Amino acid sequence: MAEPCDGNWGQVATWVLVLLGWGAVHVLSLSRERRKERRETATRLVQELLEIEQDAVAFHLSATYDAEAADRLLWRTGRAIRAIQRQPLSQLCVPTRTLTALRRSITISNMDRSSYKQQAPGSALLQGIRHATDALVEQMEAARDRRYA
Amino acid sequence: MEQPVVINIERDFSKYPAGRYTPDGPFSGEQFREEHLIPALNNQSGRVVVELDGARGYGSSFLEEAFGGLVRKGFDAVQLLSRLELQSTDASLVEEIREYIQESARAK
Repeated sequence: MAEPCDGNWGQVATWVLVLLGWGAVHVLSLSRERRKERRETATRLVQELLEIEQDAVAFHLSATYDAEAADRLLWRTGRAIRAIQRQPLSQLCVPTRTLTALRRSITISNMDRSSYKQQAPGSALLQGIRHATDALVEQMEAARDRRYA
Repeated sequence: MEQPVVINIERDFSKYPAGRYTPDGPFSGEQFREEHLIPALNNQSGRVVVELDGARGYGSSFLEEAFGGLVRKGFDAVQLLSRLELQSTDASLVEEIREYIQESARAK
């Protein structure tokens, strides 16, 4: 005579496996979603950096000093740099030196009314801004692709 | 032990520090150095804590003139780096300021 519990144990085992499988899929899905969100956050920040570069170039190319544009540049640059140092982007471990290089390239010279001179296209200052932005963007994109592939 | 002097830039100076020299605006790096940093460093021999958070943002020209300018005004860079305690959630600001102090010393 068959043990009345044999079929029950089989069903229990099946349900346990189903639940474990569901749990694993759920955890993996959440992990994948989180990675995707962080990847998108990094991509948005890269876009912001490219816009800051454009604004910085436009500011330094302008025929006249624009105090509002200077203030906005300072704010946007600082905001982006702080965001890179906070979660989740701090996981990308961008070296601080790369961040200071960006701020410095944009705001150490030709940023103040007393010293402002319209820059020529391709000037050393503008090249410095492009170089610093490129370096930061490349580091962020490489770290993003490594971490959130 | 001597209590450190604490300078909170947003509270004690401005939420909108900007510009290198006094003609650049009311809250320049030069003004911050002359009105806050130098008196704090001269009035006692201990630590000077500078709290950087809260301001709208910092331009490098402000930071360089305020802090790098201390060396040009005669302060010893090694002592400055030892006495100045820079506090910010933005580590890049602290690193940048320390660079300006060191660069000013090398330029002398």
